[in-house]
Amino acid sequence: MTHLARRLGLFDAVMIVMGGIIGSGIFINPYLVARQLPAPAWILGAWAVGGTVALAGAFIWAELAARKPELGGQYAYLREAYHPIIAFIYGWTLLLVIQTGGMAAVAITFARYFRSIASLPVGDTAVAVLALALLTAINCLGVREGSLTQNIFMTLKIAAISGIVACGFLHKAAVVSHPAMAEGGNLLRALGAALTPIAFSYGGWQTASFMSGELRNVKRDLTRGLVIGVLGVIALYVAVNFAYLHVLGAAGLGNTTTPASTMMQQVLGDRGASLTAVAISLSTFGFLSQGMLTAPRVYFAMAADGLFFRGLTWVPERTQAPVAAIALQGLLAIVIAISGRYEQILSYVTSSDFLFFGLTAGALFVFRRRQPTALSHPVPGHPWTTAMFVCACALIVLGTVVNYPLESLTGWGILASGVPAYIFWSRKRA
Amino acid sequence: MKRVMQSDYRRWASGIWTTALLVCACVAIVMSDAVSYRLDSLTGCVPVNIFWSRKRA
Repeated sequence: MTHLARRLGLFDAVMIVMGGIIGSGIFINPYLVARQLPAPAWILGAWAVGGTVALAGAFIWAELAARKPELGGQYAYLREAYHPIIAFIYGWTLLLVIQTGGMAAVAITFARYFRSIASLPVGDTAVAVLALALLTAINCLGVREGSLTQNIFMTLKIAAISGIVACGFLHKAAVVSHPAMAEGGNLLRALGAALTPIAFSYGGWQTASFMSGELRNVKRDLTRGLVIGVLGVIALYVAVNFAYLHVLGAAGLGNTTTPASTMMQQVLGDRGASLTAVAISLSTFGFLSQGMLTAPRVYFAMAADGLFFRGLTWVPERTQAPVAAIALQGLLAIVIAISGRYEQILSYVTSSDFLFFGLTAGALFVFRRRQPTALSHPVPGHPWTTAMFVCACALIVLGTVVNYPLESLTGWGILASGVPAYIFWSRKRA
Repeated sequence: MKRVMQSDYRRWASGIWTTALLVCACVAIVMSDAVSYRLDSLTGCVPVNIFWSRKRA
């Protein structure tokens, strides 16, 4: 079977978009931004600017979804705009490194925080493996079951972050000294450096496009879901940063590597630190649930194109879920979690997500040239908005290559390993 | 019906995008450290920050 049951609606789409973005980053990354930009207004401004870039991306993916409402979402956009090999390398890297490595790393983070609140007689790796196995099993039961789990944890995640924001707002404001401002070029450089961790924190909404084959009305629900979801995340991120700054001040935020815990400890004492651990556990488990739901649809689409193991197209009549693709991803994530090499693996490919972001946004120029009249869901401000987004992605990729040349080279090697694999499967298909 | 839905989306998307740009412009103005420093030198007043109570270093 090479199609899936369309069972998801707008609410599911919004939850999937938000669930793909919010992981553990927002509880940690804000200190990296605060170290670059010491003034609170600049810090909040940088989060707002990063959010606007993500919003531009959401509009681009919305138009792409309306133009190509096909199985696999981003994989299909790359295939249709450029060449199947580009799409294949994307799916290949997603399965071998980006998705599985990322999920292994998040599963270990979940295990660390979960064990700190529930004293268990097993280690971090065992808890991470159990979490991944449980989510694999739930998602194999069907898209409705996987989506329901993701919706529940996303709702809890929103409640937990809102709780942190409320605690921050109700606490007395920090009295801080006036920070020294960087001038001219220094300030611009600092803003650029601050926007990199922000861009990584806002990434992940594109994974909702993978569900194109299971949304009841892709053109209506995915387009709106992308925009509403990203707007929701911008509101949460700006609000939570406001709370951190309100309690800790800009200097205090820059001086801690665990801003959420530090802030909550200041507000509620030791109980606050435990509550933060609960919030991070919920958030990371929800993030894993989203990853287990979305990415297997890409491997399924690759197999449906005849470019991957044919067995991955197996869809049981009862569950209507791509069970083999889900199991493969779960198994690989578990292997990487047990190996303990996920941090090293991830450092090689941190920029490749943005390489594919840029390429996918560029696909919109290709589609518009091919079909200039098919403008059902146009990106506001195109071509300027789209060009701005592509440039932002190119700058992040360039910055990573310049700052981490050795890791980047290894990353490009991993991408290149997809070429012989593509040749093998394309010949087999022929 | 389909055409009505599409024009709804256009208006909705344009409205959101325009609002986002306006918010960014307002944030840029409210990044008052830069603005208030200039105003400060002109007026000699302590800059008023709407977010935080501060003492000057």
